[in-house]
Formats: sequence, C-alpha cells, structure tokens
Amino acid sequence: MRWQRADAAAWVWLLSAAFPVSAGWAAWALYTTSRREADLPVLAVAALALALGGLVAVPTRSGQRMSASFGVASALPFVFRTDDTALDVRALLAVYAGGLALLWVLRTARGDDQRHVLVLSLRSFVGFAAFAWLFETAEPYVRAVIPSGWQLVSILAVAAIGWFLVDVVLSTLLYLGPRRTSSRYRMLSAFKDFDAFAALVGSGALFGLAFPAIGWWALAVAVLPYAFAHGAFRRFLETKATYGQTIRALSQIPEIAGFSQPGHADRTAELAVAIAKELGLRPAVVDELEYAAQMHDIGRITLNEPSIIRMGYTDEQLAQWGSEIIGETPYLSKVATYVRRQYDSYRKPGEERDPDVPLPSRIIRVASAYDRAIREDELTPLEAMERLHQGSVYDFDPMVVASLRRVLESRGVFGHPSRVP
Amino acid sequence: MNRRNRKKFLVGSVYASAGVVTLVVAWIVGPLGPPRAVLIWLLFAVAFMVLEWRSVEVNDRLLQSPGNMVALTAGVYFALLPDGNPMLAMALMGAVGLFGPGDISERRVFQPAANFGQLTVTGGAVGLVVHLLLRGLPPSSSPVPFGLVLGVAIVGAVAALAYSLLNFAFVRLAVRIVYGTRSILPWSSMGRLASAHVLMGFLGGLLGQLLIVEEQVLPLILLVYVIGHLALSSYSQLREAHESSLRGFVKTLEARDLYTRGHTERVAYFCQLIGEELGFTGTQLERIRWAALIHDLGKLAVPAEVIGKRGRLDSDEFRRLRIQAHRVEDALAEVDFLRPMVELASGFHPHGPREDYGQKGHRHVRQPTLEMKVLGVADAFDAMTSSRRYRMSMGQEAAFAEMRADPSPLFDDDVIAALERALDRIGQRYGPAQIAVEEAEEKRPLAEQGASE
Repeated sequence: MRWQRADAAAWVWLLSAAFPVSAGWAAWALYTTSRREADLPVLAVAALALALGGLVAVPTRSGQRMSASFGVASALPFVFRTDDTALDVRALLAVYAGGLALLWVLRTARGDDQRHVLVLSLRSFVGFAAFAWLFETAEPYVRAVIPSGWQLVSILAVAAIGWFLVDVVLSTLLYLGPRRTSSRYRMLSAFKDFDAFAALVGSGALFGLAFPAIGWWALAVAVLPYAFAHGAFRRFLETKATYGQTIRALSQIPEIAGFSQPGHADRTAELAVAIAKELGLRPAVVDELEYAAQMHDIGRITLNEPSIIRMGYTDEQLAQWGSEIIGETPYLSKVATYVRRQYDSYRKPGEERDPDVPLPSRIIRVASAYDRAIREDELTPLEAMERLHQGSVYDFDPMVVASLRRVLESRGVFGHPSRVP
Repeated sequence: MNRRNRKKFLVGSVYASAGVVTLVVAWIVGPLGPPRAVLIWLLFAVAFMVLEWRSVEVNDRLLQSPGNMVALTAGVYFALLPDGNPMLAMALMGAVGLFGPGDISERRVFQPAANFGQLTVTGGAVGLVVHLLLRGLPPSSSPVPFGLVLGVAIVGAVAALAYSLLNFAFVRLAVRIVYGTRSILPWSSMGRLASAHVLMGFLGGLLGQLLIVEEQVLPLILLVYVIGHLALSSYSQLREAHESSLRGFVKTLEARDLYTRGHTERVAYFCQLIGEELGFTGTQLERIRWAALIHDLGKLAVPAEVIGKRGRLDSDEFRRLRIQAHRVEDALAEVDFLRPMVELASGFHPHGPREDYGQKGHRHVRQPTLEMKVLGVADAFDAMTSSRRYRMSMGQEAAFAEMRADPSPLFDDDVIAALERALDRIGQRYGPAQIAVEEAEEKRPLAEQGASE
C-alpha cells in the first residue's frame, strides 16, 4: 500500500517538473510553425493575461471551480483574426501553451495541489484546442448559411458548445473528487456548469468583438455584466452552504437532547452521499439525499413529550413525525418523503421488490444501520457488514449494501483493499 | 366608490393620459427608425420585460433590476442612429413594462395604469434629453475615438440619473396622493440605488455606442445578463427556502405546545413593528426577524420532565434547562450566517456574570445592543399578553407598565414606546382587553427569567 502511494506521488512530481518545460517547448514549436502574423509582444501579453486569469477562481453550480482563463481564451480568436485571413490555430495554441507554462509557475508559487494543476491544465488545453479547431473549421460552413453581420457570433456558438462538450468528457475522465464516484454522477455534475461556462465565454467574446470598435472600453463592457453574473453565482453558492449548515445545526438538536448518538446524523449523511455517488444518482437527488440523511432522526425531537414516552412509539412513527416537521417547508417535500419512508422494507416476504420505496430512503436505511452497528453495538466493520448482508433478505437493499461495501473497501476500512482474505 | 378608490382612479387616469400624450407626441416627432432598428428595439423590449418581470428581491427592499440599463442602451442607440427617434424608443419601452406578474395575478388596474403613465413619460422625457445632448455628433464608424466613447457614456450616466429621479418623483407623488403621508418603504432606499443606476447608465451609454458599430455583441450581452439574472433568481429562491425551512421547523415544534403556539411568529411580527418604527434598515430588519425565529429553539433540547413541569422549576432544573439551551445555541452559532443572530438572540444575559455553562460558540456582551432590546421587549410583551401553563395573560397596558417598572437594561423605554406607538397606529390590541393596570400589578411579578422566556 505504502509504496504504491509514494509511487503515485513521485509520478505526479515527475510530470509536474516536466510540465512547464514541455509546455514552453510546445509554445515555441507551435509559434515557429505558425504563419507568424501576430507580434511576439502581443502574444506574450495574451499569454500573461491567460495565466493571470487562471489564478481567478470562478464559482459554479456544481461547486467545481472554473477559472477566468476560459473567458480570456474565448477572446483570443477574435483578437487574432483579421478580415481577410483565416484564423491561425497554431499561433493561438502557442499562446495557450505559453500561458499554461506561466500559470504552472504562478500556481506552484502559490502552493496549489500539483495534481489539480496538472489535471486542470490538461483539461483546459485539450478543450481550447477543440475550440480553436472548431472555430477555424466551422467558418466556411457558417458563412454559407448565416447572413452577414451575424456570422462571427454563430461561429462562436458552434465552437463554444464543442468546447463545453469536450470539457465535460475530460472532467468526467479526470475527476478530482473522491474515488468511487460513478461516471454518470461526474458527467451530470459537469453539465450543471453550463451557465457559468456560457457567461465566461460570452464575456470573453464580448471583449474580443468590442475591442476593435471601442478600444479598451471593451474591458468595461465585458467585465461589468460578468461581474453581475459572478456575484449572483457567488451568492447562490453561499446561500446553499448556509442552508446546509442550518440543516446540520437543526439535526443536532435531538443529539444534544440525548435522544440520539452524538454525530450519528453527520456520519450517516457522509456515508449516504458516498453511496449515492457510487451508485450514480443525479446531483440534485444527491443534494436532497444529503439533507434527508442529515435529518433522518429529527423526529426524535418529539421524545421530550411526556405523553409520547408514556404511550410508546415505533421507528416508523418517529420517521413519520420527522417527515411532518420537514414537510412544513414546500421546498423540502421530497426530503420529507425520503425521511418518512426510511424504514420501509425494500421487499416483503413472498413479494417482488417494492418499486415505491425511493432509492434515497433505502440508502439512508443502510447507512444509518451501519453507523448504529459500529457505534451503538460496537461491532467491527466486517461484523457490521455481515449484519447488513443478513438483513438484505427484506430490510436492506442488496444493491445498496454492495455499494456500501465497495465504498468502505476503497477507504481501506477492511484492511488492504486488494488483499481481503 | 370610497375616497381612496376615487383618488386611485384620478391618479391612474391622469398618469395614463399623460403617458398616451407622450406616446402621441413622440410618434409625431418621427418614426422609430429604419426597419433593422425596429428589430433591435424588439430584442431590447423583450430583454426589458424579462428583467422587469423577473426582478429579484435582494435584501427585501432593494429590487435589483438592470432593466434601467436596457432602457438607457436603447436610448443612446437610437439617438446615435441616423433617423432614429430615442424619445419614441424609450417611451415605448416604458409602455411594455406596465404589467408586473403581481398585477395580473391580483387583477390590479390602478398600478398598471399609473406605471404605464409614469414609465412612458419618464422614458419620453429622458429620450428627449439624450437626443438633445447627442445631437449633431458625426456618424459613428469603427474604431470610435476614446474621448467620444467617454462622452457618450457620461451622457448615459446623466440620463440614468434623470431617469431614476423622475421615476422616483412620479411614484412618490402617486403614493402621497393615494395613501397619504404613510411611509413609502419600498422606495425609501431609492437614494442609495441612484449610484447603481448611474453606473448602469454609464454602461448603457457604452453599449449603445458599441451597438452602432458592432451589432453582433447584442446577443452576447443579453446572454451574460440573462445568465446572471437567472442565477440571482435561483439565489433568492434558495434564500426564501432557507427562511421558510427554519420557520416551518419552529412552527411544527411550537404546535405541539398549546401555550406557546405562534409565539415565535408573533415575536417576529412585534420585532418588525418596532424596527420599522425606529427606522431600521432592511438588513437590520432581516437580522432581527431571523433572531426572533431562532430565539426559542434552545428549549427543544430540554429534557421532557423539565419542559412539561407544572409550577416553578427548582434551581437544579433551571440550570439544566439553561445548559441544554446553550448547547443548542452553540450548534446554531456554528452556522456562519446565523452567528450574529444567535448573539443577538442570546448574547445578553440579564442576570449578571454567567457561571460556566460550557458555551463557547458565541460572544456575550455586558450591555445589550438596540437590536437585543427590541427582541427582548417583543419577547416579553408576547409572553405577558398570552396565557401560559402557569398563569393567565395580562393586558397590553399592564404589560407595558410592568416592563417599564423592570430595572433590566433590556426594557428600554424608547423601545417600549416605539412598540406602543406602532400598535396604536395600526389599531391592534393584545391580551385580554378588560384587565386594568392596577389589577395586573397585584399579580405575581413575572418570573425572574426576564426576557428569555
């Protein structure tokens, strides 16, 4: 195990050290084979702008950061084209490679994670190459179809959509999040960032189109609308984080009152989200599942009522009461359903599987039972898994249990991941 | 027809006719422009309508909408266009913004009529100003000189200032006539908005100039704005969901206790009344509303035998109650956004220095702030004027008298007076009406708990 990790780290460092050299060499090679219509100083300024843009993180809906260099990059084809000649893709790529080499220096100086730097550089270079190539290739076709006056914008639209699709594929392949995340989840969460991408590319192209007409005023024209969109995304993300924190704080109330194990809600939510990502649920459902798992024991708040304690209660009733509390908020109606159905058996004796029990509820049931087995009954992980396997006749969905096992294995909970006896 | 409706009719019809006159005059001056320009105007109008319709409430009072900028862009574009008529372009733009979604769902007539009038007249007047200022400029061609761009952008900024001032004046006049001198809260922050409008106008000037020489930028600008606007509206949706989650949560939990049912909502309402009376800003009002929502959550973690007990608590039980409540407050203070509200709701303890209850999550102060006093008064007022398991409610006057007599620094006379004034003004009374002050004073003084019920 240990030597493998060290090996991976060494590879990352080797690649990192080689990266700025090879990017710089590529930049020079591309530049010398290009038609060289643009001046070297102009190209250098563009590369510097790209590198600086790469340092500015941009908020997106999926929470994966993009950088402002997307915006700078989309201005390049407009800045470096003249009316009579076609676009010089090689010169553009030279600028981009030079910008990446510079960005590597800046980000390493800032102390960023090398793996992130490498992956993001590769992703953005391939994506931009696709953009530049499409920009050049699409031109004759678009000119044949679209009336003059609107051709440049149409070419941009075609090339930008191509760029985005390539970026989605690359960010699915080179995922930086936790391991054992299904590619469906990776891809869908990358698609969520289309609006932030479009805002960036739109602003960059705005600058590129406006610059020949009004000079440096184009910067104001491009930056101000983008700042508006940027602020809106930032507020959205902040509110989302606050919402999550509030739900977490509320879910701690039964734990503080002593009606539930301290930290149970947090651990259940963390495990449930890992299972959901492993199974490839949609990002929106994963968000709801996180809230539901966090609040799955909220019904226990009612345990401070003397009448309830006198009369006794079942788990199903607690789930029902919890779901009533959550259901007061229309926005959380699905979360309330997941909480209400968390104790439903996935299959009843003599019947097929019940398709009405939502998958998130089945996930919560498994994650919560695992955590209880470990913390309350003090079982080892293997014993806890055995209990879940035994319960998967009726109570625990075997598909979810299997997914939990894979998640735990990838974390090395059972010992060496590849050498389980 | 009552008096207010007569006034509404009068204002609505005068404003609407002024709007019609403006449109006719602008029409007589000349046509909108060449056919291609009409298409561009349509694009502007759609953007203007989308932005006005889906205007997003940010911080409650500030209706943020870049619609202003769209109108100014159109004005500058048509002023620079040979044969363009900026007056008609801007007046028509105002005319399409007459309905809001709220007007349609509530079948209002007065508001759309008045809005049609004031937006059209404002648009026409500002269009005329832009036309006069930009008259005689040489036809634009790419690249436009730096100074010229700056000049046009400044004209845009000036026109935007005129636009928002005129708009404000018309709205204030209408509100004064129809509703009397009542405070006009939704527009009270207009002054602070003016700077944003000037910036929008400057940008509008730049864009108008740019559009003349490069039409292709139009879809790009609209794209970026629409994306920003959609993100802003999903932000405000989420913010509402956040508040309604907490509200719903508190409501369901209160519903289980007959005596405190609705307590939180009423405290929030009293806080709002006092805050408005004392001239709080939108941010302050929002903060105090949240604080009111969470001020009683601590009791949720209180053991069953304590919460349901009839009669007084002994000191050990009281201590347990405090400890549990503090642990909940600490959990809530973990939420960055809620920390100031938690401090507001529980940062002040009226009973001298605290023993160590283990609370670390939030700051405690020696002297209560004004916001804490507002919450304290609202909380105590509701507690006194509603029944509890262990006592009957007391009358409004008695409650005020008791709070004034209490030496706690939470019960500030100005704050109490503000609540009294606010209740008088809207004509609401709380508690059983018949109990006289003397009678209430004979009763057992309210529990030592002070503000924290």
